[in-house]
This record gives sequence, C-alpha cells and structure tokens, in this order.
Amino acid sequence: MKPDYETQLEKAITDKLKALPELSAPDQLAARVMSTLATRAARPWYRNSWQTLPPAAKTISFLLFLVAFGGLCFAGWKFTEGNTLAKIIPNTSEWFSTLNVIGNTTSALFHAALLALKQLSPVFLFACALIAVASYTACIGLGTVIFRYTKKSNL
Amino acid sequence: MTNPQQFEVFMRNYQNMVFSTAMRLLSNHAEAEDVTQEVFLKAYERFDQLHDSPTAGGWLKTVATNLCLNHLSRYRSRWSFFSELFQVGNDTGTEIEFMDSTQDSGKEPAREEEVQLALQTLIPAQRVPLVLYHLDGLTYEEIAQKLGVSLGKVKTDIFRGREALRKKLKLHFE
Repeated sequence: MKPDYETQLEKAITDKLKALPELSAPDQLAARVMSTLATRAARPWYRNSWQTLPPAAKTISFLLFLVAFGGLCFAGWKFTEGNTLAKIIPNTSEWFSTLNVIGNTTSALFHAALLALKQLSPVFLFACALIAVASYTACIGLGTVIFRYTKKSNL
Repeated sequence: MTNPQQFEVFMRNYQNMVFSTAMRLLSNHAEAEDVTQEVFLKAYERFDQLHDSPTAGGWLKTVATNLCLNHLSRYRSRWSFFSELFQVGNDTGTEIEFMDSTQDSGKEPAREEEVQLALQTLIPAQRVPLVLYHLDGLTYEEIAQKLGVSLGKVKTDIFRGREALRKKLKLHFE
C-alpha cells in the first residue's frame, strides 16, 4: 500500500466528516430535560442523592454518620468484652437449633449430589457442559441478531 | 441559584452539537437522545460555572463523548464479537444505496446524507475510533487509552474504517 494513498485517504475522510452539518436534536428533547429537572426540584430533599445536598447538610450528615459508626464500634467492643455475650449465648442456642437442622440436611443433600456426580462418566459431564455453553452462545447470538435487525430497521 | 429559562436557552444553543456527537458515536437515535439528556442534566448541576464560560462547548462535548463510550462499553461489549461477525459482508464490499444512482465517481463530492449514512453503518469498533480521530482530533495514543485497547488495534480499526467508508462512498484516488 502506498503511503501516499493512505495520506490522501486520511485527508479525504477528514474533509468528508468535518463537512458534515450538525444533526438536529429531537424537538421534544429540551422539554424532556426541563420536565426531568422540574420533577427533581419538586422532590423532597431526603429523596435526592447525597451529592446534591447543600454543603452544610452534607457536613452535618457526615458528622452524624461518623458518630453513629463510632458508637456502633464502641457498643460492639463493650458487647464482646464483658459477660454480655456469655449470658446471651445459652438463650440463643435454642433459636439456632432449627437453623442447625436445616444446615445438616443441606450438607447431607450436597454430599449425596457429589456422590452421584462422581458415579457419572466424564463424557456425560462434558456433554452437559457443552450443551450449557452452546445454549448460552445461542442466546447471545439470537439477541445480537434481533438487536441488529431492530437497529437496521431504525436507520 | 440556576435560572431554568437561562438554562433552557443554553441548552437550545448546544443541543444539536451534543446530539450530533452522541449520534455519531452511538449511531442510534434513542440512545443518542438519552445520552444528550444525561449530558444536560449534568450540565445543570454546574450551570453556575458553565453558563458564561467560553469552554462550555468543549466541556459538553467531552462529557457527551465519555458518556457514549461508557454506554458502549457497558451495553455492547458482551455481544460485540457476534455483531462484528454479522457485519463482515457489510464492511468489506457492500455499498449503501445512493439517492443519485448516476453518481459513480469518487471525484464527485458525496452528499452529506450519504456520508452520514455510511458512517452510521460502520461497525462500532471502526466507527468509534474513526470519529474520535477525524472529528474530535484525538491522537492514536489518546484513543487507545480512552477505549482501553492496544495502539495497534486502534490503527488497524481506523484504517479498516477508512477503507470501508471509501468503498461505501466510492472514493477513488490516482
């Protein structure tokens, strides 16, 4: 490829693209933006994001958060340090007995499934994996075809 | 406090530029409209600094470009492999329908609509670096950094994009 050809092509493409006029924005765009802004303005302050709060409110909320976090850390420390935890554990152990049963059952089922899986041949497992990958790929491919088709229709 | 009327005037002054930037990168009307709206919502938050700034246009263009690139990487990277596979035929040989069928020489200036359409039918992997290079004036290195791809890929994609455009617009050189 001649370097001169590339230079000419680059210049021609630049000229063609730079000569393109601006596209007209949709008529309803300004109205949409203004309506979104009006909706935002009408929203109560506590429903807006933290970044949009006034600086004073931001500082106060940040300090409150720090105090709450510090209090939580202090409470956690006191809770584990003293005898509080030891007093609570005997009472809570009853609550956890149900969870324990669920845990044991799940564990038994998991081990049974693992055992069954070991009995299956590697070829079967490989075929299953292959089917899963093929299905996933087909889904993406189909999605892409639909996307391309609808996009082409929009042009 | 921002005056909504002032902001609306500001928006009407720049909306075509922002929309064109988004449309050329995304090549999709609805997505370009959404990005344009997002750009102006961001602009409203800092309208106090923007409204009399000479660099407002540049700021809006940069934000629009960045939002478009984020949008493309977020929603399209997953199926770009397939998208590009399906467009290979389009990319190398197929030419778009021209409104004037008598025009067959590249020496004639191609009409703006044809250029616009040819640009829109390029695959994103070629269109995006091409627009960033030719319209936004970014260097190959800057484009590679922005898109998070290698310098070689940027050069190849831009070259292929130019070739595809040349074929679509039937440009010929001595």
